[in-house]
Amino acid sequence: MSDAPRITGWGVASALGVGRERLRGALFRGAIGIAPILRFDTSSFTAHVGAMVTGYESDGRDATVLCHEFGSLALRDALAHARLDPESLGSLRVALTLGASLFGDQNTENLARSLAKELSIEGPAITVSTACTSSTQAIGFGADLIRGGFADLVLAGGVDVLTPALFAGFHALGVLSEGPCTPFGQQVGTTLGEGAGFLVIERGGLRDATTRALIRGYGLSGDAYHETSPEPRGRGVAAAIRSALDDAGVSETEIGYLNAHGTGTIANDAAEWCAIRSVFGSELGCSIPLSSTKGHLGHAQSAAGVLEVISTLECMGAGLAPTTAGFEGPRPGGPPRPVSAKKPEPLAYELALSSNSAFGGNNCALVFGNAGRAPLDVDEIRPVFVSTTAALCAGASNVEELASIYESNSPPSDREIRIDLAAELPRVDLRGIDRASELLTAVTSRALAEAGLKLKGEARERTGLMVGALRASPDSIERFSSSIVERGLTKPDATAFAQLLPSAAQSACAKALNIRGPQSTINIGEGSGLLACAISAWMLAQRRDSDRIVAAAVDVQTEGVAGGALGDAACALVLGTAPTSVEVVGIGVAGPDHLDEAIAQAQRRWGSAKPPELFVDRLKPLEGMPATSSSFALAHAVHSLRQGGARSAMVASKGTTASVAIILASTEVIHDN
Amino acid sequence: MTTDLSDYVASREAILDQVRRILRDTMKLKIEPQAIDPDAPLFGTGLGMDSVDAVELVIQLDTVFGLQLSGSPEAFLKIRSVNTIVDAIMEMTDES
Repeated sequence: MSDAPRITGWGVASALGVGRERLRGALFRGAIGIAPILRFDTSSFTAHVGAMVTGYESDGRDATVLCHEFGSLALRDALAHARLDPESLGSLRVALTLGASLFGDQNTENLARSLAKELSIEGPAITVSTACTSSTQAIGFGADLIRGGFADLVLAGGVDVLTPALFAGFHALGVLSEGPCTPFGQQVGTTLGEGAGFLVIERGGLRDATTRALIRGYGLSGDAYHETSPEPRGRGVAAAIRSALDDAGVSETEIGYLNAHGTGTIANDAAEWCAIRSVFGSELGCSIPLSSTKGHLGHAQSAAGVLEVISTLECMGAGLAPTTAGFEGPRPGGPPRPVSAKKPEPLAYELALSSNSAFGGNNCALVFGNAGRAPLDVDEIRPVFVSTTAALCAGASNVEELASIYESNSPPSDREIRIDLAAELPRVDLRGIDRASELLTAVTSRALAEAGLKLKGEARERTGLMVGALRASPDSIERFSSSIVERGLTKPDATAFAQLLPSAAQSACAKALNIRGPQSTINIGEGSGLLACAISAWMLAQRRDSDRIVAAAVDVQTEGVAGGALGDAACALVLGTAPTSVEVVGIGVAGPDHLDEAIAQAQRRWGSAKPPELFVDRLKPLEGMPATSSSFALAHAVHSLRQGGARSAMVASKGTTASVAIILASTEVIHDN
Repeated sequence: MTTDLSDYVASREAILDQVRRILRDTMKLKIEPQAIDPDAPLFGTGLGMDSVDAVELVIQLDTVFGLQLSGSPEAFLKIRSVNTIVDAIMEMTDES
């Protein structure tokens, strides 16, 4: 039995005001936060409006500076709402899950690190980078940190800033509306926004705090369809919603209000409406109160999900239904009657569902509310096993070659990575694939092939992909930047723009290999791959929406790394519930300065009085592969257990923004005689 | 063949060549330029290009030939196949 994670507060920096009181007042008045853009010149574009954070409309400071400022404002607002003294955070087991994508040339973990430092957050700070689903997923993972006992209190949300490059990319794709967007309405296209929002999520009984709502469940899925367009029938969106309902243990008929992604684009709104009807049925689909908050706040990208959850929570608490601002009549292929009063109207509901979708086909849905029922049961924990591993770096094309690098403990003389993906995957359209996508797809494909898995039929939906990656592939970043330099802001390279996300490799790999189950891209800097393994193991153990998850990592270095290709690397481990000779027996996640706590957690979950027989460390000779090196260590540990070198092994990594420890044990009966 | 007609054919061939090369280099079609059927649909089931490719193609046609295509549905008809693109470019050259 476990208690459902409680939401005890929230805070925002939004286009309808900085601070939740301002957002609440504006929402209740039916205000619209979309206005002509003042921060940069839009005269060469066909769209000129955006939803900038109030008071920052003309602020031209660097995006990373604004991201930090928005994040800090929203976090402090959330702490005040939850009646938490910022000074007290150091004494609690507090974690941060941050949705942030920072299109372009940035490592996303730096923002999490600076926000955690400012607020003295000692626990893990995990960045989720899946574009428009980033903060929605961050809330889901935050709830999991509570459910799994990895933290007592989590600050979960997201941040994004509207930059000229981001505006130019969306403009090139032709998805921006001329005037303020009207989701599901007659004005076609979306309006970009920005902002930050955070929830305070905590375990019951931690302190004397008002529970404002419970997080009941979340669901993830991938379309495996296209880098920017949603799968037209909304198959992936429907899968995420079903998985969230399942996780929450509720049926669709219990949902009283649905906050749709509703960007306003033709493709999104139509696909989402297909998904809603497929889950709720035609009748309930047409009658369930649903709306999109983007008419008020624009599309705040990585912050969109959390701002929409917060808008819903504000309305739910006051017995109101959020409305679709600007909607004046339905468009063909959309919901006929979204909630669209000028101001939120009374509606009593106890459970709400919020759905978001992103570039590359990432989907996430959340179920939350005030339902006064018994706490959620966490099902029996299932054992999780490692079936196969694949490794790729200079001097190693498989785990056996990786093992010889471990044995020799010296850098490989051969620094070239040989992949011929077109030969390995002759039937897959690999046009325009970037370096990170190529490496990730190669290892994932090899690991699945070695496990004898052909992803067809239901196996596609039952297979997930969790990737540790710090940034977008440098070749895509370079292509996008040089297209802007050479051709100007109005003519960016649209293909490269779509790949400017840390999650681009995950999406490309999922598309190439037809992986449609739960998926995400996470980042803690050094050790990201090990965290991807820990999250995969946890999800398989306590959820029922997948049978296996490929836990992977990828690094691609920019030029200037000595020795050319050294630093490009990828690793994949297929984790599943089908028994194999190696079991994941313990996982631990803690703050970057608390590796000992991560190890203690893993040891406790394992339940053995003795320490593991073998400790595998990161490869010393291969430096400069922050996401992958710890995955290599885990793959090598699996290899060592299979060789009979030990019966248990641990990999522990002190990462940049979190520490992770995983203990593996051999399930083979070993005869001592 | 009259001089006019042979000039027309030669310039059409030259443009066709260039368009095919744009398709191979920019759209990264894994196919030799000569093997691209001038009448095959570029999008969907034909050569398998998509909406994001269309954005880049429109920019390339503007950069290389000065062919300006608006966002209207009629403009999209002009880039259905290699031949329709060549037609549009020749039409533009005739007008100027």
